Amino acid sequence: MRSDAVLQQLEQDWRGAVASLPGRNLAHPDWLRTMPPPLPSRPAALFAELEDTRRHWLELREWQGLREHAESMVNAGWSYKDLLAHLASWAVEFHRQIVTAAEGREFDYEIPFQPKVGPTDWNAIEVARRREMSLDEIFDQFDAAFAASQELVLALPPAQLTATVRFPIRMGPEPLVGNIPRIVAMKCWHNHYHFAQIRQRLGALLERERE
Amino acid sequence: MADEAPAASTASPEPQILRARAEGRVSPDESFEQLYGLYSPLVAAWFQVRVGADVADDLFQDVWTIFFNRWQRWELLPEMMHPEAKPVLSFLFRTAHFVLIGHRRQGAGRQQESIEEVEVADRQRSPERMQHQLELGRTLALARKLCPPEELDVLLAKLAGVPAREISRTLQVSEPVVDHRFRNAISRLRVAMQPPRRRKPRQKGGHHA
Repeated sequence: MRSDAVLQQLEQDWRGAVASLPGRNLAHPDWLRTMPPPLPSRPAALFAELEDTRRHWLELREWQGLREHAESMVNAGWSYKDLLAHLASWAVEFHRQIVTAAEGREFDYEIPFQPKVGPTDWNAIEVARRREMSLDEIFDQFDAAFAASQELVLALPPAQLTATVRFPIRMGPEPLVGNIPRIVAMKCWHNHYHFAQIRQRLGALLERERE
Repeated sequence: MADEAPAASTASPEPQILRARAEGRVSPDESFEQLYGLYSPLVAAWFQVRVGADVADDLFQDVWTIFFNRWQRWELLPEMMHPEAKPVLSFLFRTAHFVLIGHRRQGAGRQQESIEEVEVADRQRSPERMQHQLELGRTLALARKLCPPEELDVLLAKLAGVPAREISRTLQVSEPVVDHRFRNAISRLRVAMQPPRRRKPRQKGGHHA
């Protein structure tokens, strides 16, 4: 049998298989229409969210343009390296929060957020702490914290994973009350926001340099 | 040639759905529904080939919950509208791959079980879930049986029309390695599907029946 005949047969089988699972007859996505919409909360889904973030981080690490411009300013206050240090500091803090929540302990500190600008004081201290670190050390720190968080979400029993926790983040008078899936979603969103910012601003800078 | 991209890679409605969303002609919810209608059978089929029907349902929901949340803030870039770009299909493949890794790392995977065990378990499922069970043709069933996971990853992605660049990015291998795995899978199937050769009757020299 020729290879192209095998492929043709395979494609036919695949089309038949997919047609045997028509979308409208599958579980209708009503389970996605609850308010607020559900967050990924099963271990494999949380692992996947964190893995996606790690892969984007790895792509930034391999971007030569980012290394060349690590000391260029991404905004009025921070260089690209500072922004990466900011993300690494939150990766470490995020892991600490998951560990504390998983152990059922209370938080003995808080991170107050200013309206619209976030925890500026906390951020400034954590970035300053990393000023002496090399770029690779910053990349490693983030990745190690995310890898450890992945291991934890896979190991935790469902009840612990979704238990209600008072987190140290305080956006108003009260601390954030949620669970581990909630802070995974927040952290991944925060990272993707800054990844997009880095890609757009640095991409534009490199484009200008090429012209 | 057998290693060319399968026909599924052409004429996808995904770019029109993205354009309509980018131009504000449809809401995020409406476009989500269109994408769900378009791709949910593919995602279901990926998982059913890989893990069997019982686990597939949970992993399927994981992927769509992740995508639903991401879609609310999806950044629609002009390059995503290119007919071959298929960023949503690529995202779903990538997420399905990561969910599968997570599932297996968790130790709940059924990959240690034989295909026969999976099929016996599938037959014991409730009638309505049985309706959703994948009808594997002979070639696809052979692929599931004969191809190692890394070849099956490539094969299923190519059959679904995921761009080669995205397969390479997700699996963290080069595009030539993706092609190599695809060719290997096809050769494996080709050998398995060869009709058995008829043996020539042996000369029974000096022997009388």
